[in-house]
Amino acid sequence: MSMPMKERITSVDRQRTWEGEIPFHYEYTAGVSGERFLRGLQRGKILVPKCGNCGRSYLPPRAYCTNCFLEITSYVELKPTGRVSALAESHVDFQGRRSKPRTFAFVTFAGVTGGLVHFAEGKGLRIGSSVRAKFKPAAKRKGTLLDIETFVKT
Amino acid sequence: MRRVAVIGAGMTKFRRRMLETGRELSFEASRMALDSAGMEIKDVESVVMGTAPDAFDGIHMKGDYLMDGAGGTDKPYSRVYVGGGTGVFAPVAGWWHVASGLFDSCLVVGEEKMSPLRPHPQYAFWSIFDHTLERPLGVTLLWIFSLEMRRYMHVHGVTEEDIALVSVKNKGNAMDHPCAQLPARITVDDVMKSEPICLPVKRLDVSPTSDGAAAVMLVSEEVARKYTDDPVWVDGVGWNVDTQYWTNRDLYYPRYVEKAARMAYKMAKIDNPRKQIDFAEVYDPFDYKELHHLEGVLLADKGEAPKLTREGVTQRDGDLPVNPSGGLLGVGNPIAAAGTMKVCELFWQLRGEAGKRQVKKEVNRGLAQAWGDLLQVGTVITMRR
Ligand SMILES: [Zn+2]
Repeated sequence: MSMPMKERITSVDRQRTWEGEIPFHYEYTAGVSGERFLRGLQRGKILVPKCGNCGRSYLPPRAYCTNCFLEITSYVELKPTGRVSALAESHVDFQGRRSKPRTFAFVTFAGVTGGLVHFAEGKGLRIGSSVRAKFKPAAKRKGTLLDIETFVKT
Repeated sequence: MRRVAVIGAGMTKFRRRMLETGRELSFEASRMALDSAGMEIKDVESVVMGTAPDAFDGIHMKGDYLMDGAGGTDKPYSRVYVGGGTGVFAPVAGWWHVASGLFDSCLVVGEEKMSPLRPHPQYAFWSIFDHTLERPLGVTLLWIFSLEMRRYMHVHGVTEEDIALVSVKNKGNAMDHPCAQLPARITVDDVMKSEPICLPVKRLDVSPTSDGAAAVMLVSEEVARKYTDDPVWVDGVGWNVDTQYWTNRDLYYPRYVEKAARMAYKMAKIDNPRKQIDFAEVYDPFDYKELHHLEGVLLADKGEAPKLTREGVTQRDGDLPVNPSGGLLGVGNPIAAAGTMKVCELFWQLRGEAGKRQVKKEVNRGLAQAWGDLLQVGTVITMRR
């Protein structure tokens, strides 16, 4: 027992293994604030919670002010135009497979704490570019993040 | 070690399927605990989150995810975890944050959102079993509980009807809890006739799966005096973990719970628990578990708990009220939140703020206990006026 296993096994093919999986499946809720935000997207609006105490607005949306630790119940509509704060281009999907290159950006909005990560496009897109949310046609929106198709350089 | 006081408590409703995210549940409970203490988050020096397997919420590393709902952002924040016993372990961790002198305050939050996992949260337990020696049988967690319940019945000559009395009592107690998920007036007969799950365990022997959160505010003596004339003191804490091989324990008696209780009793200078503890919130995910745990924490002799239950000693107006909250069987069982709910109940009972749930006798000291992992962790806290 003094020798580590890795030195004793000379061929991994000789190891017996048992296949298994941790097969979890989930149905998530968006939450009180998330639901409000997503229903906004469905109507073509970016709605953000605004703290009645300190006046901060937040993205991603949340049901409480992280500054004051108080509940937030009021929402304001943002102009769908933001600014690219950072961007990158993905060539590999989340399982490590080669995928069609896609540009995504961190978009911030005037007066809002935080921002949204989403797809972005447009010739000459760079940090500082002004981008506008391009919504799907109303009939195709489902109240999900992808109701915004992408952000397009203005 | 410094004295540690509890000066606030809060909890959400416990429900089968909530719209609120785990973060939002954590916020609601935390906010209520702060309000109850008269504190703001800026007054809080540290935060401890207790939450059970990531597999329930379906968010990997959910301690991080839940953090800002518990007010932990930009503070010394940590998540603690000992399986199902986490809900009482988190306040124990909060206690050492303050008792050690490291912090003057610690907000402790227990959270669980079990509803996302489909088809049933029970599924999360499949992969805790040994992949070559247990899983091939198609084992479920209920197998162990059923074996344990049967073993307990066999050793002490306990009947299923005796055990059903616990479910009747706790679901009845929960009628007075505003957050309760499954309050009900039922009879022993209802329990006996409920659908078989894994016999001898039947539907009404089992607590529900739930979403919810609960929180308590722990502070040093100096801080406590600033906020209240009526603090409740944590005077004993203990925990213990038995072997993970459930085949290497005698299932009829939770000796790890006894060891956890003895650790807490030593600290609290309790040498006769039955005389020095006025009421108890012991972990009751199954009705037989209340009996098991009452014996484990030495509030009943081995095999005596069913008799105390039959004689009404453990009723809210009895000599030793047990689970006056309604317990997991009645209030609900969002794992870590359920344990912390029991600590909240100690606070409310000891302050005389339990409303319709207030136990009849005067109470000066209470015990809360939780249990979990693969049947082998015991966590205990005692609190007094
Ligand atoms: Zn604010």
